[in-house]
Amino acid sequence: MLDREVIKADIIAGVTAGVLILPQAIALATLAGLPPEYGLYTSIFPVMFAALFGSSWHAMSGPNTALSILIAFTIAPYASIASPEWIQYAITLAFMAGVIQVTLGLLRLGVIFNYFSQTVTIALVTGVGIIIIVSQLGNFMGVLMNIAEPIENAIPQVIYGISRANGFAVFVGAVTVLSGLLLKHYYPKLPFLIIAVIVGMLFSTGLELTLGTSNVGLDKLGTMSLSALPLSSPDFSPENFAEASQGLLPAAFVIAFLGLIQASLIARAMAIKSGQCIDINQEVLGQGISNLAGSFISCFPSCSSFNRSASNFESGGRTPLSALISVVTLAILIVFAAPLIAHMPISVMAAILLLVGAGLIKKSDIKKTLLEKRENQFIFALILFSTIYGGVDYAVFFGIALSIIAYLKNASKPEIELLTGKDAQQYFPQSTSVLSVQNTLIKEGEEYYQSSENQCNELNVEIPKQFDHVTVLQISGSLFFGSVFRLEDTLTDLRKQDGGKGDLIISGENLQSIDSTGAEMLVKEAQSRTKTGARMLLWLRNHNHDAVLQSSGLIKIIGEKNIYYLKENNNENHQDHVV
Amino acid sequence: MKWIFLKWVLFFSFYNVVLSVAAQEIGQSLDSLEVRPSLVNSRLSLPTQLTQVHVISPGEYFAPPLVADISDDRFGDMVRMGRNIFINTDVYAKRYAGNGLNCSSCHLQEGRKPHGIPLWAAYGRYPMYRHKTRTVVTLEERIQDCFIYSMDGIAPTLDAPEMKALVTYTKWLSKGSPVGVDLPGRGLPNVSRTQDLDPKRGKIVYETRCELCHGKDGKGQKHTNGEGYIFPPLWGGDSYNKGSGLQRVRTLAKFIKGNMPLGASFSLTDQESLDVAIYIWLQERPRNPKMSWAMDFFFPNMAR
Repeated sequence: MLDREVIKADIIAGVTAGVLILPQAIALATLAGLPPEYGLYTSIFPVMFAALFGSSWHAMSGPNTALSILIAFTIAPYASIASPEWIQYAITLAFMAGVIQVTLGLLRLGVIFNYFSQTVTIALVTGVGIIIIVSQLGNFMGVLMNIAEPIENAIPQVIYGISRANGFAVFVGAVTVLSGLLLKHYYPKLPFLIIAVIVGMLFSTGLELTLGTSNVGLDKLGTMSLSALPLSSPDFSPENFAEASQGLLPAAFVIAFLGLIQASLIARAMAIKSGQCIDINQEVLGQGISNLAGSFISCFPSCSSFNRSASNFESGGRTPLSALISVVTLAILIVFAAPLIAHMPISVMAAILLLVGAGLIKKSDIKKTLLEKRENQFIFALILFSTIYGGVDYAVFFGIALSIIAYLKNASKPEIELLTGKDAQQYFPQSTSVLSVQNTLIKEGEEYYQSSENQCNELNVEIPKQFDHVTVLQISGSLFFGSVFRLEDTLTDLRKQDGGKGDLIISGENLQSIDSTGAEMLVKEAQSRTKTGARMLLWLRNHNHDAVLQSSGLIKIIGEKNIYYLKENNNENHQDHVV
Repeated sequence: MKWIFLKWVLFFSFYNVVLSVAAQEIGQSLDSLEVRPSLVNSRLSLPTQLTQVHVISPGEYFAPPLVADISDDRFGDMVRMGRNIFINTDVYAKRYAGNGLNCSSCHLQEGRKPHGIPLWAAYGRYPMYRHKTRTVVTLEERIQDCFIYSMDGIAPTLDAPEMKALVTYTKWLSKGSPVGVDLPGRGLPNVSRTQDLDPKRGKIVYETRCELCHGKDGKGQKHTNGEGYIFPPLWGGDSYNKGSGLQRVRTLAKFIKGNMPLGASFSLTDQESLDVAIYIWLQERPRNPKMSWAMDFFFPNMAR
């Protein structure tokens, strides 16, 4: 698995990722209201743990934009920014989120994050991008702004701040943004963030050399005091935690969920690209361990990052080794870059966050999801609005609720198709697979009558000779108490058509699940049909639903020989592989 | 005679007990610093144990609260953080400190000493008009200037926790002081010159009165563990830069007259202070951040 080629590719990808993460680490820590050191710690230790314990080979963990915003807005009412209490709360949040995630992983509940609607995620991320841009305009102009303010107050504040803005700060920031945008447009392969930082810092240094440091008056990041093993611990002592617990506890759940939603999304996206088989519960466990362990080494909550995972994969990373290499690279890089980072102007950092925020607003994704379905537009607008006005935490809860509603709505709508006449022929039971019959049907057309008859006669299977009286009912999706009424409607219609005397073939190959209510509906139909002398046949993919059908008595009524399986002797649970 | 001697012995033993208790208290509440002259509890500060103040009458100067009286709540935590930054800047405000000086290198006795630029006299005067910037500046902006010039570092942003802690400490130290009043002991004492300044005379004064602590090369003395200065450097790369207030000869002379040598304030004459000040002024130190090579080239007259 780890041959020379792969190791070489991993080292290249890891070094690239380690360099790329540096500006983001600093910027995202500032976004979370923490000193830049904590961003660097969070880009080192959780990345390592997630790579070692997670399932995906390509997902790169680390500080995340949405989580950073969420942390800042959660702690802001209880502590002053970047103060020791603030840091303590962030670490405690990481611990709580880690515990929740590990619990979910151990209970094997990771599957639930597959149901989080993609539209909701896109709307959330777009909202986070807008929040980042608005929140960083003050830093961009060198003006002090209140944080955690509703957007309708923040925008006037920005406008009033223009007169107080430091022109040099705006200039340096604008240069950074422009160079970033140009690079992204003309040289999309280059790491545009770090080059933009370098360009911005060159301009600021040039300004200071020509005009004098204190005349330019740029706010700067300042010297970092880093330690190789920055030990910390969560603090639940009443005097520190009690007053903030009301805000921190629900926020821990939101952070845990939001982290896992993104992590599972990224793991799946990476798996599609790489063909790796992902165990989502393992991935959840990995995320939980990385947060849990991170809280003891000065890390704030983290999760997988889409940008970094994608660029890691694109630059050739094939195994978790690349994540480990990126950690080592970053650690070495910090040692040399720390004196330079001390002189990084805050407006350059704000410019980086503006670029990151603009990158989160992906027009193509938005367009795609809006055009896909009508209800997506509604969900998108609702979540975007609640993200910007209510905050990320409310939007996550709201998004989870909307995803569930949308899922239920779709699930209660099993696709039911009625096939009659020649369309129904392919469902006629025989030993050859359906596919081959279909092919024969297409190729030979009318001659099919003959051949299939011959085949079936050889196998001594009874065939209803008159196809006109056969109706095929194709059901896909879930047949459960919430969706049974649709089946009932169809069956009633059918009975009006054929008077309940025709043979009925129920094709349930795409039937995901069936519960007792759904089975009972089938039993009723089968009883009424057998009374009139007609027969009912059932096609199933495998033996998954046997228990339900057996207990409802359906198998007894229609007879075991009338139930056909696409895959014989396949009792494995398919749920895990679908993931 | 014997009785008087006994009285003195008793007094000194009591004094030592108080001192050691005070030192222990500080040792518990602070990090494990060696107790420096300026760190000793100012419970008995008028006249103090190690530095003497020119007292005309008792109760003349404002008495700031005691370190032991810092409350055990969030406010107290902030005060303690501010005090830590104040007396050990390059550890607790490493992010912004640029040289080897602490706040308490100039604001002596943790910012308590009258005529040693005490914080309690400054707090009630801000916001104030400053000639240097020609604007009205707040205390926070003044602290930023301290970091840029005297500490030769990076200005903490106005919302930085370090800034908040320093302002909180200043506020705590001026508990009960009147606002907008020039308190006795504010800033530095006045000096007036009687002759032209002479760095040669200043060199002699430096060698006799200053060199013992600040060193022959003016680089100060570090703690025995090599971390931080017990006696601050007067020039060289680790000292204040050319834009700071002490770079003005007159201000430096005032500071020397009111506070130096440590423990013997007001022992130098005005002329001696001025002579030492111009001797120190002539030495090399970090460049003025207001200046740049382009400005040096185009506006050579602007440079002092």
